[in-house]
Amino acid sequence: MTSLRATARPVTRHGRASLPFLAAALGCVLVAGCASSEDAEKRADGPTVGAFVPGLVNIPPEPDAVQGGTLTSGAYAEPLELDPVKTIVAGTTGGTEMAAVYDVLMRWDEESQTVVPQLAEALTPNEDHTTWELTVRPDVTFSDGTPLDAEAVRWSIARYLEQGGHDSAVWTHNVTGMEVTGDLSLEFTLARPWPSFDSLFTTGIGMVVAKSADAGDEFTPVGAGPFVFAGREPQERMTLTANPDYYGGRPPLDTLEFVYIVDPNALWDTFGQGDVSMAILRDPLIVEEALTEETPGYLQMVGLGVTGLINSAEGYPGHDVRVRQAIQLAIDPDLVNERANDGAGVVSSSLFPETSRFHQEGVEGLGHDPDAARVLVEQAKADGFDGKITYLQGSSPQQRAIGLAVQAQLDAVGFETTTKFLASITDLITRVAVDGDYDMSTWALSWRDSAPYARMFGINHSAGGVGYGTASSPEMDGLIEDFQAAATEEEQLAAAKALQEGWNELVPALVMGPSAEFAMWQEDVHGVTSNSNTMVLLDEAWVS
Amino acid sequence: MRNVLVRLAELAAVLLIVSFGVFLMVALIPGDPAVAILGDGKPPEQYESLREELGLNEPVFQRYLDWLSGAVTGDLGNSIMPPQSPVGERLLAAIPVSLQLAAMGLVIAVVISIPLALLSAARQGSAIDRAIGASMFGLLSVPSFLAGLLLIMVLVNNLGWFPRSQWVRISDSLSGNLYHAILPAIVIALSEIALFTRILRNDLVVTLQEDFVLAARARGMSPRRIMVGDALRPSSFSLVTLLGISTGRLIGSTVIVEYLFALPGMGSLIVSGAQTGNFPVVQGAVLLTALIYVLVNSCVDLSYGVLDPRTRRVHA
Repeated sequence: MTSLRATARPVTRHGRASLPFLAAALGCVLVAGCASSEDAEKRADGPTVGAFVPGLVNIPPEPDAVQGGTLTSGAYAEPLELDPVKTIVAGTTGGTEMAAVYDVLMRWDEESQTVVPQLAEALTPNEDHTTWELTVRPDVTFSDGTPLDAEAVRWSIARYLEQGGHDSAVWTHNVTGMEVTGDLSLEFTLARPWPSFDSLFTTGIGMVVAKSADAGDEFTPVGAGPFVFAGREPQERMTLTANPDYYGGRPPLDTLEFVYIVDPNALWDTFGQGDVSMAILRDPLIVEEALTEETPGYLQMVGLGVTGLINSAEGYPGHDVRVRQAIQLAIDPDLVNERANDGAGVVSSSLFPETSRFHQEGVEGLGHDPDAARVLVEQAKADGFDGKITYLQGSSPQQRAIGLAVQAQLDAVGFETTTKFLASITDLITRVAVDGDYDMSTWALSWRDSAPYARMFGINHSAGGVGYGTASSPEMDGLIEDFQAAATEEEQLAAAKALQEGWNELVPALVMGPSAEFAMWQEDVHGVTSNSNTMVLLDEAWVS
Repeated sequence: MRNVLVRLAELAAVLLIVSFGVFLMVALIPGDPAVAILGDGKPPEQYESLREELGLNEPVFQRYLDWLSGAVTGDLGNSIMPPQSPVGERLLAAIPVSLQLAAMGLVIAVVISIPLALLSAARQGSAIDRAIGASMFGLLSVPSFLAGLLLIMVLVNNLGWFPRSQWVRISDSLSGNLYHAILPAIVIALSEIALFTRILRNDLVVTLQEDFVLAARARGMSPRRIMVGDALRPSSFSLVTLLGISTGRLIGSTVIVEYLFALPGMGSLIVSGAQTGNFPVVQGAVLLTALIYVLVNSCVDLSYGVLDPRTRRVHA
């Protein structure tokens, strides 16, 4: 159930498409089509769909490092604060800025597909992955001069948990003890085996905040990363300068500037003009265009990136499992993608589509089957369901297109759908995540391949705490825990298969496909390394 | 003196009405600032605690009075969204962008529209007059977002003459600032050019029928001198009034242009503030815009006396 449609949009260098240039654009479409198939061959060993090849792509040979200079990056969104407790730690939400200030104890290495030490010296499990020992590098200091030792790590993690950081529920459910065992070592005791526990340290928990950050009236970003927060102009830019005392030595770049350009098309054009050295974008059309132009960068396909939450609380239509199943069966993700993105991107009803390392042939989500959906809706109606369902969507052109496509397909199988286009993301979050008052809503569950368990647990495990009213069950809890405990690739694939089968029964959400996130950079940018959640690390980056 | 006092009272009344109206509107916008700050997935008590801390649980009228009591002393409060800097600082960062764009847009519009209007009025009824008139109607009918997109497509993407986005402050580089500001200013100027040309041309046509113009012609003065030296000034009343209105309007209403070119002006500040329920910022921005609007229009009123000495007696 995974497919990629050739884009119908004229594809030219950095969006330079116009009516007078249609002929040239048509030629470029043909070129783009050829390029897509070539791209797919670039990493024959990795999961690919068309141009969408996850990982570090189109990286040119690296010349000798150059010291100095400024790297300007166009951010996807402006973070409110550089506090890993309060801001979701991902490349699209300020994660790269935070990684530059705090660094991360561990990082996700895309090439080896493993978690490797970064600011930490080592994180070692015992045989059954129930006890982990973290060793901090010696002589690391925060930018305020205080030492980053085991006690500093403990304090920072305790702060994260106390203030309810994004992964605090998964931590408290699994970690029963955290003990400082030496100046530079801590031991974590887990309630159950967790072979991928180290992945937690690649994001917010792994960003060690100095005590002085909380000393003033307002939070100040103080970390031990390669750069130091220098200032910001809200809605305009944020400036970070090189930390001369960084443990790995002063970074090659003198300054990092993150500029905030709200319109993704404007950011893509600005990148095309060379006015920014880096940019992170997730619009499928733009990402596909960038990939077909062989733009260097780091592509991550975020599993369950295009989904619809279904409220299963009592009194809502989704309380009836037949309604939830009918919703999934009624929707053709290909059609939705065609309407919203001119067919660009990857669509799938699978939890682990072809771009995922957990993908297996024959392990699929519920396919498009409007007849079966119609039967289920009739059955639900016979038991008292009035057929009415309200679907919350955003109000961008793309979201409107998705909303209308979903509504049409639901109505075609017997639902009476009302789609509400909300003016702001804040309104959507309030309705769904805070009030829990919705039938069905657009959302991104974001199971990232580098560490999907944390998000799985948070939303789909009954103890996760952020379920938004979606269906959970003891069986689903067990399947998620089995996935957590899977140590070998064989075990992981078996757990993924079982999880998909369980999901098809329970249908906690409507799945329409992964979303692409592409951190791209100019050909003169070098030394960028990968981390989880589409974050990139810039401690070794330079501009030639 | 009495006129000044009356005008000040009017100004205060306008600002009071505007600020209360905007406050109500922001309060009615769906969405919760606590959610915008904390994001999703937090326990309900955390949202509640933040609402309490921000004073969002107070009745709307009480919140307005609290804000007003600070505003009359010059304290517009702090942004409730991080970074929680004073609203005054945010306005000081945004207002130069909008003022510069508005000023450049108006200068471009005036520089282009005056010769066009003079030419059109001098050749009243000719093919040139009709062509200019049709072009101006065409410009008026093109919304700024469409004009902006078309100009971006041609001048930025195809010809590469202008940068696509970002703002360079004058303090960083004057040439960089002008390079980044010129295209947005042209987009702003387009509809103003059409408006100014139409208004000025019509006023000039009327003025050209006046006795003093006929007398000048009879004395053998050149048509160019009559147009520029005699007819233009008394024909500028409507244009000057329009300039005043446009200045105030452009300060806070260049949202689309600011969005298209990613410019950190007042429009962007107001929109992002409204989207997140950041009412102190919206209030401050709207208040400042209204203040500029009223002050500019007061200046316009005063300028009538300079343009036509006969009106001084009326205002005296």
